[in-house]
Amino acid sequence: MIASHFFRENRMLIYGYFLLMHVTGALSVFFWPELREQIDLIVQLIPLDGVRRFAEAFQTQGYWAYFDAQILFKGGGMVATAVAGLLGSGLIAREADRNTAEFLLSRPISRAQILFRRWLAGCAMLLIPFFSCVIFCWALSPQVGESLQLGRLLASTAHVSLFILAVFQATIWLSAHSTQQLRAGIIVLGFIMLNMAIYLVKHIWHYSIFNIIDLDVLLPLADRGAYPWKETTTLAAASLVFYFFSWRAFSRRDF
Amino acid sequence: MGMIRAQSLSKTYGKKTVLREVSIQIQNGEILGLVGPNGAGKTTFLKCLLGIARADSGQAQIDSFCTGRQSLAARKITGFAPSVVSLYDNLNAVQTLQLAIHGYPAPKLQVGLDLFDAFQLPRQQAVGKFSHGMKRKLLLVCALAANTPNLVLDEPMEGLDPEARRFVESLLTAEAQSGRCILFSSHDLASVERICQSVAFLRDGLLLEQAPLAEILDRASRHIQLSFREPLTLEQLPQHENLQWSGQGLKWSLRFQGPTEKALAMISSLPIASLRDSSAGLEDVFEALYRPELST
Repeated sequence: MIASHFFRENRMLIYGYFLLMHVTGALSVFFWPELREQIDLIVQLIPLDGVRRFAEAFQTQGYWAYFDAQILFKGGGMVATAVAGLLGSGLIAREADRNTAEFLLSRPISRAQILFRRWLAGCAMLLIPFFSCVIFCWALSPQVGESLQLGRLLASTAHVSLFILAVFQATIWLSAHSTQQLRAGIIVLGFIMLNMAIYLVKHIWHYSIFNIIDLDVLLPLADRGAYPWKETTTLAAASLVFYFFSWRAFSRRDF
Repeated sequence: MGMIRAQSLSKTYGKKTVLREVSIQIQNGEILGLVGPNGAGKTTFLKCLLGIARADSGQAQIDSFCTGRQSLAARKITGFAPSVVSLYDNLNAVQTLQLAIHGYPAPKLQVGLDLFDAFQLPRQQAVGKFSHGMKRKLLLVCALAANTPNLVLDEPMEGLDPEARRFVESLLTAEAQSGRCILFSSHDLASVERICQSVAFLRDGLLLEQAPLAEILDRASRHIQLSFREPLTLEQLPQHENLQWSGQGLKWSLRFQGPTEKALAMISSLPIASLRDSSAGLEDVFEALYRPELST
């Protein structure tokens, strides 16, 4: 009931996210043949170092690099994390924001259960469209004369998923302290934009959180099956820590 | 059978002390009205009772469950209607009811649906389109449909029309007669007077008094308006330390303390043309208790 109610409240956002991911994913796949023809010229024209690194990877690594960049890095790392920010910011703060906390918390359901069920619903709402988009685009790839090994692709998707969940969890932690969803959402989206800006600047790009899911991490996995255990462990640990602190803040908070 | 007990509950928000060692007790079948001016701490007290806010000290118990450590178990046996009428606007009345009674051991959805009809609440309309009074009724329905031995209601009469108030009063009276323990806060003293067995007065987070309603009213001075068939002087009227006369000629008013029967016996020999009881109600008691505060 708690999970389904959380879904119902956010369903328009999730439907939009699902549609956006699939439409832009399909368009990206079908744009590949055109890009492949002109990639040498494009590399020379790109002024930003951060973006040129991607284009150079397309030149050398081909479709894998393109797919990783478009679907996993851009779709998962940017679109899905933005949705995670919007979703997570409302998980607790919205109840305080619109004065429904008293109604919800007086029900015979523990705060730990409310947090867990909503978190679970949020994970499903974030990851099902993401995985679906990846598989959908993978299935479309033969249409442009490309094929990818599904196992390694899913491993890459799982890694990016942990990144999305870490952002989601950090947002919930903020939400547990905030009385306004908007404030929590703005902080998270601002943080994501700041990190993207840092990522595009030469010399400091490796300080960005997007460094954890960029092509330097994903391509070795695609090429050699080298799973980025260090980054994955960091993301999983961050999620766990943020979950613990979210639970603690929520369970101690007065409404 | 329900029972609610709070012992020395205290709560501070920042530097402001909202509750100061408040203790109350309600037995099964009893309705206790919690009254006090705005900011007296009524809502905070009810929140602490249910674990929505954490008391700094003291403890509360609902049946055998301590609401601090066993807050979940305590909430399972307590239906609650909050004072804030904010609900999930995208849900309709039935969905709100389903969400509200989720998790209770023996909820009665049908009771809620029947009450929708009694209150003339549209079942399928989005709650966001409900008026303030309709939302108040919906919250009350949710609390009743939880089918718990205890009911805690924060301002259940607020925003209701007189007819709905009377209906809620009859509902609560029936619930108490079936053995439920009911605690409700209210500014509607007339309702409190009509249905409560006992009353607790809060001021600035401090419990001024908890006592049976009858006892409180008995302690208050009684007031009778008298018209006589012939003009009388003060000297002709019976004198006693508990009687206080004012007026002249044909019309006099009598204030007295103690049982009404005793006073009536003392004036029975007078040539009374008519008699009207203007005795103090709960509102007068409230005014007397809070007068300094209300005048500021």
